[in-house]
Amino acid sequence: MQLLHQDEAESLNRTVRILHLEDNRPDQELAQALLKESGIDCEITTVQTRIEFVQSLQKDAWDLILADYSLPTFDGLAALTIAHQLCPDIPFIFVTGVMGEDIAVETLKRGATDYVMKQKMERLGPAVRRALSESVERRRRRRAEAGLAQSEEQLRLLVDAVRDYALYMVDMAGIVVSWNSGAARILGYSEQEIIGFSFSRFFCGDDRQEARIEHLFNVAERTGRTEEEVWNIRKDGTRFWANLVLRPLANGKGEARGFAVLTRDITEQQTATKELEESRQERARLQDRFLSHISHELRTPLTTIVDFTSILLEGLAGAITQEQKQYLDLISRSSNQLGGMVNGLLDLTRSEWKRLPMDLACVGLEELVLNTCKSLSPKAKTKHIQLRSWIPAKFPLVYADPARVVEILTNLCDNAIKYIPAGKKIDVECLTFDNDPGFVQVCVRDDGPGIAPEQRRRIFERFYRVAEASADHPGGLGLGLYITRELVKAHGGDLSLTGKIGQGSAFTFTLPTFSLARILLPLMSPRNLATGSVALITLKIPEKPNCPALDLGRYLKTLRVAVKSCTYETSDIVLPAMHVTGLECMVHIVAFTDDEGVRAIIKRIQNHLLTCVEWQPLEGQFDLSGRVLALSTAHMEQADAAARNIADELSTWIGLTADTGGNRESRQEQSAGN
Amino acid sequence: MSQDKNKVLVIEDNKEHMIALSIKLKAHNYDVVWAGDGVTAMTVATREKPDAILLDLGLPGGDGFVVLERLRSLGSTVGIPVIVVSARDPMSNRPMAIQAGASAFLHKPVKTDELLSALQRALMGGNDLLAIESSDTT
Repeated sequence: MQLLHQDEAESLNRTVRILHLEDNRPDQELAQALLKESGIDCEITTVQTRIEFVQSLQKDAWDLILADYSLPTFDGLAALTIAHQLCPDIPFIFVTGVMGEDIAVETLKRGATDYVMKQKMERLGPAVRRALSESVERRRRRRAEAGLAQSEEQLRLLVDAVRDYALYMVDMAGIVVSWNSGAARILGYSEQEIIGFSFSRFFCGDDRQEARIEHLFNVAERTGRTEEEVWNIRKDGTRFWANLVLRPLANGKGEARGFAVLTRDITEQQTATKELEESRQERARLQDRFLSHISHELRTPLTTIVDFTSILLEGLAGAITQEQKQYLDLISRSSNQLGGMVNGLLDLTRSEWKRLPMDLACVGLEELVLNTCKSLSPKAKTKHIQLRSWIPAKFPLVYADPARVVEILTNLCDNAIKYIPAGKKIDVECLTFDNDPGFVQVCVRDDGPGIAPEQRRRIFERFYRVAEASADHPGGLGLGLYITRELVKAHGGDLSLTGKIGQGSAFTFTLPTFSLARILLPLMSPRNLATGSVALITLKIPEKPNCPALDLGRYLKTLRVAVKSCTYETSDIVLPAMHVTGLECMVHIVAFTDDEGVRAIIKRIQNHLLTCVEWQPLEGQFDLSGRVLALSTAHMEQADAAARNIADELSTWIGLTADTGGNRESRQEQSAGN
Repeated sequence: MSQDKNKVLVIEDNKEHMIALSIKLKAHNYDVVWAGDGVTAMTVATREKPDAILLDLGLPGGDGFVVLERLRSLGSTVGIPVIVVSARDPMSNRPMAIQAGASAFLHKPVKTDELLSALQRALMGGNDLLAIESSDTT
């Protein structure tokens, strides 16, 4: 459009060059006057003879030819023929007084643009104007056609130059209608060999099925594109892993004509990805072997040291003096520290692989906090440090690995004991968030000298140590807080440090609260829901005096390992094992299964308990039972809602809700003495 | 608990560890027999009929798991509780050991009281594999 405007403007606004073949001077002048009058800015050159006419056409460029039909030496039709030969695009208008209607029509047939009767010379202006604009239009069209032909050629060359991609078109029936050289190279067929044949021959095995191709077409038509990775087969029968992109092609009216198919051979890429994955796995295997090696190698001499130290300390090799006992205690403490470092190294490497082993369970924090403080109180007492813990009544249960929580708490308290001066105090405080029931926080606060800001920033870094090893501060690897934070993170929480110089420090970590829905959500696969029922299997163990809680914790751990190994094969089972502290200990197993499945699982667990000696002291004291909840269709519509519904119902059975810890008493304990 | 001395077979190739274990065990009124490799272990186990076995995993001429498997498959040793005592990574080895029929997995270095209580538990349940009543699946 823009081109046309430009040309129009060009042709009508600039001076138009007209060649006038006319021997009659008044007629010449009249034509000139009329054109001027109708506002056409023109420059008219008049010629009278054939020679002059031909020369002018050859020499100059013209916008328009006006010609008298009958000339004494030359006739109009001959002039038209000449003009057509020399410059076919220039509009040719006859201006004549003697032409009958039939002759006029004849001239038009032979290529004249128009004719104007001398009796109706007022038509000259409009005729010229129209001829000029038609000529512009014609030129424009010709240029566009030439351009199109050129771009088609370019496109063809381009498509053909694409050698790494097979690019071809198929019609609605899958018949190949165009083929580029890349296609010839990749698929092995020449253009002649393949055009007219179905592209289904490129697919092997099941892929060749009509249904498959129809599916590809359907998706492409509906969504504008299909992409698939399939095996394609070459002319020579070899296969390659192909990335296939199909796009629908429509004609001007929007009717589907066929599909453009772009195929890339990604066999190498596929192989490379596979090799990468294999090498990653190999590295993980090597790392595992290395870990197990390091652990073994360091522990072997350590075991000798620990064993014989304890033999000497216990007097099994004869009586020892007070002084000897003192030294042996030092050896014992140092070797324990060394053992801790070996564990730390293992954990460190694992945390870098994001493989910190976690055994998540539903846990009451108060018992863990109390136990930790109890076990650290002797150490605190030797420095006259007061170690206290505060936990509100009905504190939410958390979803955590109890052993890891003890580790976190121990690391933080131990650190505080190590670095604050004698006579100070440490408070462990458990708090809920008003605005976020999903987490609780535990704060280990001391009234020591505080930590300088620049050290605060770096304190969680690996191998960073606040103070050089000294008599007061035994050396370490500088991994304690790093690993502690990794442990917190592995629970989905965070560990931070606040405080000011002179006002003590506070390490605060968060832990997710227990919610059955949270655990169930990842398990809400259509496959699991398809079983139609979800079962809760509960193993209840009464707490007994001869079965201390710590041991029970270990039993639960071995049981969880056992149950996991029992249940993997029954495939639909999942194990958010829970450890509810309080009056009794329980392990809950949620399985997407029916009555029969529940019976099978219970049988397996029983069989395991029978062969596991560690459990035998509890024989006859535990209660293993299962209940099945039928899934309603309402459960299955949305995973999120389903998880919540099922969680609600299971919670009722278990007798706990997500936000309370049941009827446990409030406790506020001072566990380490002044 | 039995009035007679209980006999414990220590399968351990590291002499120092073996000596330490036997000093501790003897001090706590156990009889100790020792085997330094898997083949000897099988011979000693069938001949001595120990009440419990402490088994290291890294052994010359055969992994401890192989020994454990043989002990579990042989009629004369199947009833003897086995406690694995190893320096290997417990993360992968504990479940494997439990799966293979060990009563417990102790990670070296082992504290004396831990060793003794594990042994005591193993011996208490070791003689008699009582069935637990099947619970109803209500």
